[in-house]
Amino acid sequence: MKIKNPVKQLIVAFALSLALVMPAWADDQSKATAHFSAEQNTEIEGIIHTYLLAHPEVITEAMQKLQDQEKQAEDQRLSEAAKGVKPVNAEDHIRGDVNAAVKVIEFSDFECPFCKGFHATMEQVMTDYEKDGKVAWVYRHFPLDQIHSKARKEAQAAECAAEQGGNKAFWAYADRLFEIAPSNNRLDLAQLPIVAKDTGLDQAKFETCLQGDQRGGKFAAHIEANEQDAMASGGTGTPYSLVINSKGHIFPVNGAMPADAVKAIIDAALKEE
Amino acid sequence: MIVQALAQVFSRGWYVALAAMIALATFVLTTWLGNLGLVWQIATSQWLPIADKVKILLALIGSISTNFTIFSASCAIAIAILFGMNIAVITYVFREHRRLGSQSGQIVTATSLGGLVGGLFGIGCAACGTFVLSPALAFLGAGTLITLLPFGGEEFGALGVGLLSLSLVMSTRRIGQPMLCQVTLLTQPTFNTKEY
Repeated sequence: MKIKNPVKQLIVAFALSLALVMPAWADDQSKATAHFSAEQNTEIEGIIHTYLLAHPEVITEAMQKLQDQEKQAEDQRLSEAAKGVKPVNAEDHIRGDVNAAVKVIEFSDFECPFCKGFHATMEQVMTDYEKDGKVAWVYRHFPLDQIHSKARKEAQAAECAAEQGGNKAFWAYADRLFEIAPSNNRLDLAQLPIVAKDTGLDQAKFETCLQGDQRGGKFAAHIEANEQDAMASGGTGTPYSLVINSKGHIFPVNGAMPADAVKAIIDAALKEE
Repeated sequence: MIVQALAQVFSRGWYVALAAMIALATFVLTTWLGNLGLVWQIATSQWLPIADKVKILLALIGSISTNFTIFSASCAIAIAILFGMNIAVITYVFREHRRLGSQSGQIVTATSLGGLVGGLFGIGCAACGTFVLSPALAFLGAGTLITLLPFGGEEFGALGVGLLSLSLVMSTRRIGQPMLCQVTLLTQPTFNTKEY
Protein backbone atom coordinates (compact mmCIF):
# COMPACT_ATOMS: atom_id res chain seq x y z
CA MET A 1 0.00 0.00 0.00
CA LYS A 2 1.51 3.35 -1.10
CA ILE A 3 0.78 6.43 1.01
CA LYS A 4 1.77 9.70 -0.65
CA ASN A 5 -0.13 12.26 1.40
CA PRO A 6 2.20 13.48 4.24
CA VAL A 7 -0.72 14.07 6.64
CA LYS A 8 -1.91 10.57 5.97
CA GLN A 9 1.63 9.29 6.53
CA LEU A 10 1.71 11.04 9.89
CA ILE A 11 -1.61 9.57 10.94
CA VAL A 12 -0.65 6.06 9.84
CA ALA A 13 2.68 6.38 11.67
CA PHE A 14 0.87 7.59 14.75
CA ALA A 15 -1.67 4.76 14.56
CA LEU A 16 1.14 2.22 14.24
CA SER A 17 3.00 3.73 17.18
CA LEU A 18 -0.18 3.66 19.17
CA ALA A 19 -0.69 -0.01 18.34
CA LEU A 20 2.86 -0.77 19.46
CA VAL A 21 2.56 1.00 22.78
CA MET A 22 -0.98 -0.32 23.39
CA PRO A 23 0.00 -3.26 25.68
CA ALA A 24 2.04 -1.00 27.92
CA TRP A 25 -0.73 1.51 27.77
CA ALA A 26 -3.20 -1.10 28.93
CA ASP A 27 -0.94 -1.95 31.87
CA ASP A 28 -0.60 1.55 33.07
CA GLN A 29 -2.76 3.99 31.24
CA SER A 30 -1.75 6.95 33.36
CA LYS A 31 1.91 6.54 32.30
CA ALA A 32 1.09 6.52 28.57
CA THR A 33 -1.29 9.43 28.67
CA ALA A 34 1.10 11.46 30.76
CA HIS A 35 2.95 12.35 27.53
CA PHE A 36 -0.06 14.20 26.19
CA SER A 37 -2.09 16.95 27.64
CA ALA A 38 -5.87 16.71 27.72
CA GLU A 39 -6.06 19.09 24.75
CA GLN A 40 -3.56 17.00 22.77
CA ASN A 41 -5.52 13.82 23.52
CA THR A 42 -8.72 15.44 22.28
CA GLU A 43 -6.89 16.67 19.18
CA ILE A 44 -5.45 13.22 18.43
CA GLU A 45 -8.85 11.60 18.89
CA GLY A 46 -10.32 14.19 16.60
CA ILE A 47 -7.71 13.49 13.87
CA ILE A 48 -8.35 9.71 14.09
CA HIS A 49 -12.10 10.24 14.09
CA THR A 50 -11.94 12.50 11.03
CA TYR A 51 -9.59 10.12 9.22
CA LEU A 52 -11.80 7.10 9.90
CA LEU A 53 -14.86 8.96 8.68
CA ALA A 54 -13.04 9.99 5.53
CA HIS A 55 -11.61 6.50 4.94
CA PRO A 56 -14.05 3.98 6.47
CA GLU A 57 -12.62 1.28 4.16
CA VAL A 58 -9.62 1.13 6.54
CA ILE A 59 -11.86 -0.56 9.12
CA THR A 60 -12.90 -3.23 6.60
CA GLU A 61 -9.23 -3.70 5.66
CA ALA A 62 -8.29 -4.08 9.32
CA MET A 63 -11.14 -6.53 9.91
CA GLN A 64 -10.06 -8.55 6.88
CA LYS A 65 -6.49 -8.56 8.09
CA LEU A 66 -7.61 -9.74 11.53
CA GLN A 67 -9.70 -12.54 10.00
CA ASP A 68 -6.74 -13.62 7.84
CA GLN A 69 -4.51 -13.72 10.90
CA GLU A 70 -7.07 -15.77 12.85
CA LYS A 71 -7.45 -18.16 9.93
CA GLN A 72 -3.68 -18.49 9.67
CA ALA A 73 -3.46 -19.22 13.41
CA GLU A 74 -6.19 -21.85 13.11
CA ASP A 75 -4.48 -23.45 10.09
CA GLN A 76 -1.28 -23.65 12.09
CA ARG A 77 -3.04 -25.11 15.14
CA LEU A 78 -4.77 -27.79 13.07
CA SER A 79 -1.62 -28.65 11.16
CA GLU A 80 0.25 -28.98 14.45
CA ALA A 81 -2.32 -31.54 15.57
CA ALA A 82 -1.83 -33.47 12.31
CA LYS A 83 1.90 -33.69 12.86
CA GLY A 84 1.47 -36.54 15.32
CA VAL A 85 0.13 -38.93 12.70
CA LYS A 86 2.31 -40.65 10.13
CA PRO A 87 1.38 -39.62 6.56
CA VAL A 88 -0.36 -42.19 4.39
CA ASN A 89 2.36 -44.35 2.85
CA ALA A 90 2.98 -47.49 0.82
CA GLU A 91 2.68 -49.71 3.89
CA ASP A 92 -0.91 -48.59 4.46
CA HIS A 93 -4.04 -50.45 3.46
CA ILE A 94 -6.20 -48.06 1.51
CA ARG A 95 -9.76 -48.39 0.26
CA GLY A 96 -10.61 -45.79 -2.36
CA ASP A 97 -8.50 -43.40 -4.37
CA VAL A 98 -5.07 -42.86 -2.77
CA ASN A 99 -5.18 -39.27 -4.08
CA ALA A 100 -8.58 -38.55 -2.56
CA ALA A 101 -9.07 -35.07 -1.10
CA VAL A 102 -10.11 -36.48 2.27
CA LYS A 103 -8.55 -39.46 4.00
CA VAL A 104 -10.05 -41.25 6.97
CA ILE A 105 -7.27 -42.97 8.91
CA GLU A 106 -8.85 -45.50 11.23
CA PHE A 107 -7.01 -47.18 14.10
CA SER A 108 -8.83 -50.38 14.84
CA ASP A 109 -8.86 -53.63 16.81
CA PHE A 110 -10.47 -56.77 15.35
CA GLU A 111 -11.81 -57.83 18.77
CA CYS A 112 -13.43 -54.52 19.63
CA PRO A 113 -17.23 -54.59 19.25
CA PHE A 114 -17.32 -50.86 18.51
CA CYS A 115 -14.75 -51.32 15.72
CA LYS A 116 -16.96 -54.04 14.27
CA GLY A 117 -19.90 -51.61 14.22
CA PHE A 118 -17.78 -48.76 12.89
CA HIS A 119 -16.38 -50.98 10.12
CA ALA A 120 -19.93 -51.43 8.82
CA THR A 121 -20.50 -47.67 9.16
CA MET A 122 -17.38 -46.91 7.13
CA GLU A 123 -18.42 -49.41 4.45
CA GLN A 124 -21.69 -47.47 4.17
CA VAL A 125 -19.84 -44.14 4.06
CA MET A 126 -17.47 -45.40 1.36
CA THR A 127 -20.40 -46.56 -0.77
CA ASP A 128 -21.46 -42.90 -0.93
CA TYR A 129 -18.07 -41.24 -1.36
CA GLU A 130 -15.76 -43.78 -3.01
CA LYS A 131 -17.29 -43.51 -6.49
CA ASP A 132 -16.39 -39.82 -6.77
CA GLY A 133 -12.86 -40.49 -5.57
CA LYS A 134 -13.32 -37.90 -2.83
CA VAL A 135 -12.60 -40.09 0.17
CA ALA A 136 -10.06 -42.80 0.96
CA TRP A 137 -10.23 -45.08 4.00
CA VAL A 138 -6.92 -46.10 5.58
CA TYR A 139 -6.79 -48.99 8.05
CA ARG A 140 -4.15 -49.07 10.79
CA HIS A 141 -3.84 -51.58 13.63
CA PHE A 142 -4.37 -50.65 17.26
CA PRO A 143 -4.73 -53.98 19.13
CA LEU A 144 -5.61 -53.40 22.79
CA ASP A 145 -3.75 -56.31 24.37
CA GLN A 146 -4.92 -55.49 27.89
CA ILE A 147 -8.53 -56.29 27.04
CA HIS A 148 -8.28 -58.16 23.70
CA SER A 149 -5.47 -60.71 23.84
CA LYS A 150 -6.38 -62.19 20.43
CA ALA A 151 -6.45 -58.90 18.53
CA ARG A 152 -2.73 -58.79 17.72
CA LYS A 153 -2.78 -62.27 16.19
CA GLU A 154 -5.76 -61.22 14.09
CA ALA A 155 -3.89 -58.10 12.96
CA GLN A 156 -1.07 -60.41 11.91
CA ALA A 157 -3.58 -62.57 10.01
CA ALA A 158 -4.85 -59.54 8.09
CA GLU A 159 -1.25 -58.63 7.23
CA CYS A 160 -0.68 -62.20 6.01
CA ALA A 161 -3.69 -61.78 3.73
CA ALA A 162 -2.19 -58.54 2.39
CA GLU A 163 1.18 -60.20 1.81
CA GLN A 164 -0.46 -62.88 -0.28
CA GLY A 165 -3.09 -60.91 -2.16
CA GLY A 166 -2.24 -57.23 -1.75
CA ASN A 167 -4.50 -54.39 -0.72
CA LYS A 168 -7.64 -56.00 -2.10
CA ALA A 169 -7.03 -59.22 -0.15
CA PHE A 170 -6.41 -57.24 3.04
CA TRP A 171 -9.80 -55.53 2.82
CA ALA A 172 -11.60 -58.72 1.84
CA TYR A 173 -10.03 -60.46 4.83
CA ALA A 174 -10.75 -57.59 7.24
CA ASP A 175 -14.39 -57.36 6.06
CA ARG A 176 -14.92 -61.09 6.55
CA LEU A 177 -13.11 -61.20 9.89
CA PHE A 178 -15.22 -58.37 11.30
CA GLU A 179 -18.30 -60.12 9.94
CA ILE A 180 -17.69 -63.43 11.68
CA ALA A 181 -15.83 -62.33 14.84
CA PRO A 182 -18.18 -62.17 17.84
CA SER A 183 -15.79 -59.62 19.49
CA ASN A 184 -14.30 -59.48 22.99
CA ASN A 185 -11.93 -62.44 22.51
CA ARG A 186 -14.65 -64.91 21.58
CA LEU A 187 -13.27 -65.86 18.17
CA ASP A 188 -11.56 -69.24 17.94
CA LEU A 189 -8.20 -68.43 16.35
CA ALA A 190 -8.46 -71.67 14.35
CA GLN A 191 -10.96 -69.73 12.24
CA LEU A 192 -8.27 -67.41 10.88
CA PRO A 193 -7.00 -69.78 8.13
CA ILE A 194 -10.61 -70.65 7.28
CA VAL A 195 -11.36 -66.98 6.71
CA ALA A 196 -8.30 -66.88 4.43
CA LYS A 197 -9.67 -69.79 2.43
CA ASP A 198 -13.12 -68.16 2.28
CA THR A 199 -11.61 -65.01 0.82
CA GLY A 200 -9.78 -66.94 -1.91
CA LEU A 201 -6.31 -67.14 -0.39
CA ASP A 202 -3.95 -70.12 -0.30
CA GLN A 203 -4.66 -71.60 3.14
CA ALA A 204 -1.38 -73.51 3.52
CA LYS A 205 0.68 -70.47 2.58
CA PHE A 206 -1.42 -68.39 4.94
CA GLU A 207 -0.84 -70.80 7.84
CA THR A 208 2.91 -70.62 7.30
CA CYS A 209 2.73 -66.83 7.38
CA LEU A 210 0.66 -66.89 10.54
CA GLN A 211 3.33 -68.76 12.49
CA GLY A 212 5.40 -66.88 15.00
CA ASP A 213 5.00 -65.35 18.41
CA GLN A 214 1.97 -63.57 19.79
CA ARG A 215 3.59 -60.18 19.13
CA GLY A 216 2.57 -60.37 15.47
CA GLY A 217 5.20 -62.72 14.04
CA LYS A 218 7.00 -61.19 11.08
CA PHE A 219 4.64 -58.21 11.12
CA ALA A 220 5.33 -57.37 14.76
CA ALA A 221 7.27 -54.20 13.90
CA HIS A 222 4.59 -52.98 11.48
CA ILE A 223 1.76 -53.53 13.96
CA GLU A 224 3.81 -51.93 16.72
CA ALA A 225 4.48 -48.91 14.48
CA ASN A 226 0.75 -48.52 13.81
CA GLU A 227 0.08 -48.73 17.53
CA GLN A 228 2.69 -46.07 18.33
CA ASP A 229 1.22 -43.89 15.59
CA ALA A 230 -2.26 -44.19 17.14
CA MET A 231 -0.99 -43.08 20.53
CA ALA A 232 1.20 -40.31 19.12
CA SER A 233 -1.80 -38.86 17.31
CA GLY A 234 -3.99 -38.87 20.42
CA GLY A 235 -5.69 -42.28 20.34
CA THR A 236 -6.79 -43.60 23.73
CA GLY A 237 -9.22 -46.26 22.58
CA THR A 238 -10.68 -47.91 19.51
CA PRO A 239 -11.97 -47.14 17.00
CA TYR A 240 -10.01 -43.90 16.69
CA SER A 241 -10.19 -42.08 13.39
CA LEU A 242 -8.58 -39.03 11.88
CA VAL A 243 -10.38 -37.27 9.05
CA ILE A 244 -7.71 -35.33 7.19
CA ASN A 245 -8.15 -33.07 4.17
CA SER A 246 -5.47 -32.09 1.67
CA LYS A 247 -4.82 -28.84 3.53
CA GLY A 248 -3.64 -30.91 6.45
CA HIS A 249 -6.62 -30.12 8.66
CA ILE A 250 -7.43 -32.96 10.95
CA PHE A 251 -10.65 -33.91 12.72
CA PRO A 252 -10.05 -36.52 15.43
CA VAL A 253 -13.01 -38.82 15.99
CA ASN A 254 -13.12 -41.02 19.07
CA GLY A 255 -15.24 -44.12 19.07
CA ALA A 256 -17.87 -45.49 16.74
CA MET A 257 -19.73 -42.50 15.37
CA PRO A 258 -22.94 -42.96 13.40
CA ALA A 259 -22.76 -42.66 9.59
CA ASP A 260 -24.50 -39.27 9.65
CA ALA A 261 -21.82 -37.81 11.90
CA VAL A 262 -18.96 -39.26 9.84
CA LYS A 263 -20.52 -37.93 6.63
CA ALA A 264 -21.08 -34.48 8.16
CA ILE A 265 -17.41 -34.31 9.23
CA ILE A 266 -16.24 -35.50 5.79
CA ASP A 267 -18.46 -32.89 4.11
CA ALA A 268 -16.96 -30.19 6.32
CA ALA A 269 -13.44 -31.37 5.46
CA LEU A 270 -14.34 -31.40 1.74
CA LYS A 271 -15.86 -27.94 1.93
CA GLU A 272 -12.49 -26.42 2.69
CA GLU A 273 -10.93 -27.89 -0.43
CA MET B 1 -43.04 -39.83 51.19
CA ILE B 2 -40.46 -39.53 48.42
CA VAL B 3 -43.15 -39.64 45.73
CA GLN B 4 -45.14 -36.96 47.56
CA ALA B 5 -42.04 -34.77 47.87
CA LEU B 6 -41.23 -35.17 44.20
CA ALA B 7 -44.83 -34.33 43.29
CA GLN B 8 -44.55 -31.23 45.46
CA VAL B 9 -41.47 -30.04 43.54
CA PHE B 10 -42.51 -31.04 40.05
CA SER B 11 -46.05 -29.71 40.31
CA ARG B 12 -44.40 -26.37 39.52
CA GLY B 13 -43.59 -25.91 35.84
CA TRP B 14 -40.38 -23.98 36.54
CA TYR B 15 -38.77 -26.98 38.27
CA VAL B 16 -39.89 -29.36 35.51
CA ALA B 17 -38.29 -27.04 32.95
CA LEU B 18 -35.10 -26.77 35.03
CA ALA B 19 -34.85 -30.56 35.43
CA ALA B 20 -35.53 -31.12 31.72
CA MET B 21 -32.94 -28.55 30.66
CA ILE B 22 -30.24 -29.92 32.95
CA ALA B 23 -31.06 -33.51 31.92
CA LEU B 24 -30.84 -32.60 28.23
CA ALA B 25 -27.58 -30.72 28.69
CA THR B 26 -26.10 -33.62 30.67
CA PHE B 27 -27.20 -36.11 28.04
CA VAL B 28 -25.73 -34.07 25.17
CA LEU B 29 -22.50 -33.57 27.09
CA THR B 30 -22.32 -37.31 27.76
CA THR B 31 -22.51 -38.10 24.05
CA TRP B 32 -19.88 -35.46 23.32
CA LEU B 33 -17.60 -36.36 26.20
CA GLY B 34 -15.32 -38.67 24.20
CA ASN B 35 -14.99 -36.06 21.46
CA LEU B 36 -14.68 -32.79 23.33
CA GLY B 37 -11.62 -31.89 21.24
CA LEU B 38 -13.58 -32.34 18.04
CA VAL B 39 -16.60 -30.49 19.45
CA TRP B 40 -14.38 -27.55 20.42
CA GLN B 41 -12.68 -27.61 17.02
CA ILE B 42 -16.00 -27.56 15.19
CA ALA B 43 -17.54 -24.93 17.46
CA THR B 44 -14.60 -22.53 17.18
CA SER B 45 -13.85 -23.13 13.49
CA GLN B 46 -13.55 -19.89 11.52
CA TRP B 47 -14.37 -21.24 8.10
CA LEU B 48 -17.22 -23.64 8.84
CA PRO B 49 -20.74 -22.19 8.33
CA ILE B 50 -22.99 -22.25 11.41
CA ALA B 51 -25.42 -24.61 9.67
CA ASP B 52 -22.61 -27.16 9.20
CA LYS B 53 -21.47 -26.75 12.78
CA VAL B 54 -24.98 -27.43 14.07
CA LYS B 55 -25.32 -30.41 11.72
CA ILE B 56 -22.10 -32.03 12.97
CA LEU B 57 -22.76 -31.33 16.64
CA LEU B 58 -26.29 -32.75 16.42
CA ALA B 59 -25.07 -35.77 14.47
CA LEU B 60 -22.54 -36.52 17.23
CA ILE B 61 -25.44 -36.98 19.68
CA GLY B 62 -26.40 -40.03 17.61
CA SER B 63 -23.31 -41.75 19.05
CA ILE B 64 -25.51 -42.86 21.96
CA SER B 65 -26.65 -45.70 19.67
CA THR B 66 -23.21 -46.60 18.27
CA ASN B 67 -20.63 -45.64 20.88
CA PHE B 68 -22.34 -47.12 23.94
CA THR B 69 -23.45 -50.58 24.94
CA ILE B 70 -27.14 -50.99 25.80
CA PHE B 71 -26.17 -51.02 29.47
CA SER B 72 -23.95 -47.93 29.32
CA ALA B 73 -26.50 -46.05 27.19
CA SER B 74 -29.23 -46.88 29.74
CA CYS B 75 -26.96 -45.66 32.55
CA ALA B 76 -26.13 -42.48 30.63
CA ILE B 77 -29.83 -41.69 30.12
CA ALA B 78 -30.69 -42.54 33.73
CA ILE B 79 -27.79 -40.40 35.02
CA ALA B 80 -28.90 -37.45 32.87
CA ILE B 81 -32.51 -37.67 34.13
CA LEU B 82 -31.47 -38.18 37.77
CA PHE B 83 -28.97 -35.35 37.56
CA GLY B 84 -31.65 -32.99 36.23
CA MET B 85 -34.09 -34.07 38.95
CA ASN B 86 -31.44 -33.69 41.65
CA ILE B 87 -30.57 -30.16 40.60
CA ALA B 88 -34.26 -29.19 40.55
CA VAL B 89 -34.92 -30.73 43.99
CA ILE B 90 -31.78 -29.21 45.53
CA THR B 91 -32.75 -25.82 44.12
CA TYR B 92 -36.25 -26.23 45.59
CA VAL B 93 -34.93 -27.24 49.03
CA PHE B 94 -32.36 -24.46 49.05
CA ARG B 95 -34.88 -21.80 48.04
CA GLU B 96 -37.54 -22.97 50.48
CA HIS B 97 -35.12 -23.08 53.40
CA ARG B 98 -33.60 -19.73 52.51
CA ARG B 99 -37.09 -18.25 52.31
CA LEU B 100 -37.73 -19.45 55.85
CA GLY B 101 -34.27 -18.50 57.07
CA SER B 102 -33.22 -22.06 57.89
CA GLN B 103 -29.59 -23.25 57.74
CA SER B 104 -30.43 -26.92 57.23
CA GLY B 105 -31.08 -26.31 53.54
CA GLN B 106 -27.42 -25.53 53.06
CA ILE B 107 -26.41 -28.74 54.82
CA VAL B 108 -28.71 -30.82 52.63
CA THR B 109 -27.46 -29.02 49.52
CA ALA B 110 -23.83 -29.72 50.43
CA THR B 111 -24.55 -33.39 51.11
CA SER B 112 -26.53 -33.82 47.91
CA LEU B 113 -23.86 -32.08 45.87
CA GLY B 114 -21.44 -34.75 47.08
CA GLY B 115 -23.81 -37.36 45.66
CA LEU B 116 -24.10 -35.42 42.41
CA VAL B 117 -20.36 -35.23 41.89
CA GLY B 118 -20.01 -38.92 42.69
CA GLY B 119 -22.84 -39.73 40.31
CA LEU B 120 -21.10 -37.97 37.45
CA PHE B 121 -18.26 -40.50 37.60
CA GLY B 122 -20.68 -42.90 35.97
CA ILE B 123 -20.73 -40.87 32.77
CA GLY B 124 -18.48 -41.98 29.97
CA CYS B 125 -18.41 -43.48 26.53
CA ALA B 126 -17.77 -47.16 26.37
CA ALA B 127 -15.56 -47.28 23.26
CA CYS B 128 -12.90 -49.98 23.65
CA GLY B 129 -9.97 -49.06 25.86
CA THR B 130 -11.27 -45.61 26.76
CA PHE B 131 -10.92 -46.43 30.43
CA VAL B 132 -7.79 -48.53 30.07
CA LEU B 133 -5.81 -46.07 28.00
CA SER B 134 -7.11 -42.87 29.51
CA PRO B 135 -3.98 -40.87 30.44
CA ALA B 136 -5.58 -39.63 33.67
CA LEU B 137 -6.42 -43.14 34.83
CA ALA B 138 -3.08 -44.50 33.68
CA PHE B 139 -1.38 -41.78 35.71
CA LEU B 140 -3.34 -42.83 38.77
CA GLY B 141 -2.52 -46.47 38.09
CA ALA B 142 -6.22 -47.24 37.76
CA GLY B 143 -6.03 -48.36 34.11
CA THR B 144 -4.91 -51.89 34.95
CA LEU B 145 -7.33 -52.07 37.86
CA ILE B 146 -10.25 -51.42 35.54
CA THR B 147 -9.29 -54.37 33.31
CA LEU B 148 -9.84 -56.58 36.36
CA LEU B 149 -13.44 -55.46 36.74
CA PRO B 150 -15.90 -58.00 35.32
CA PHE B 151 -17.62 -55.41 33.10
CA GLY B 152 -14.51 -53.45 32.17
CA GLY B 153 -15.51 -50.23 33.91
CA GLU B 154 -19.20 -50.21 33.04
CA GLU B 155 -19.77 -50.73 36.76
CA PHE B 156 -19.17 -47.02 37.18
CA GLY B 157 -22.40 -46.32 35.29
CA ALA B 158 -24.42 -48.36 37.79
CA LEU B 159 -22.53 -46.72 40.65
CA GLY B 160 -23.38 -43.30 39.23
CA VAL B 161 -27.07 -44.17 39.02
CA GLY B 162 -26.93 -45.47 42.61
CA LEU B 163 -25.25 -42.35 44.00
CA LEU B 164 -27.61 -40.01 42.21
CA SER B 165 -30.64 -41.99 43.42
CA LEU B 166 -29.30 -41.80 46.97
CA SER B 167 -28.71 -38.09 46.62
CA LEU B 168 -32.28 -37.62 45.37
CA VAL B 169 -33.71 -39.62 48.29
CA MET B 170 -31.71 -37.57 50.78
CA SER B 171 -32.91 -34.30 49.28
CA THR B 172 -36.56 -35.34 49.12
CA ARG B 173 -36.49 -36.50 52.74
CA ARG B 174 -35.74 -32.94 53.73
CA ILE B 175 -38.80 -31.76 51.81
CA GLY B 176 -41.01 -34.19 53.71
CA GLN B 177 -39.78 -33.01 57.10
CA PRO B 178 -41.71 -30.17 58.77
CA MET B 179 -39.65 -27.01 59.09
CA LEU B 180 -39.65 -26.57 62.89
CA CYS B 181 -37.23 -25.08 65.34
CA GLN B 182 -36.21 -28.09 67.39
CA VAL B 183 -35.98 -27.90 71.15
CA THR B 184 -32.51 -28.70 72.45
CA LEU B 185 -32.19 -29.70 76.10
CA LEU B 186 -28.79 -28.73 77.41
CA THR B 187 -29.01 -30.11 81.01
CA GLN B 188 -31.43 -32.40 82.78
CA PRO B 189 -33.20 -30.62 85.70
CA THR B 190 -32.57 -32.26 89.12
CA PHE B 191 -34.87 -32.19 92.14
CA ASN B 192 -34.03 -32.91 95.77
CA THR B 193 -37.19 -34.11 97.49
CA LYS B 194 -35.62 -34.27 100.96
CA GLU B 195 -35.79 -30.50 101.34
CA TYR B 196 -39.56 -30.48 101.02
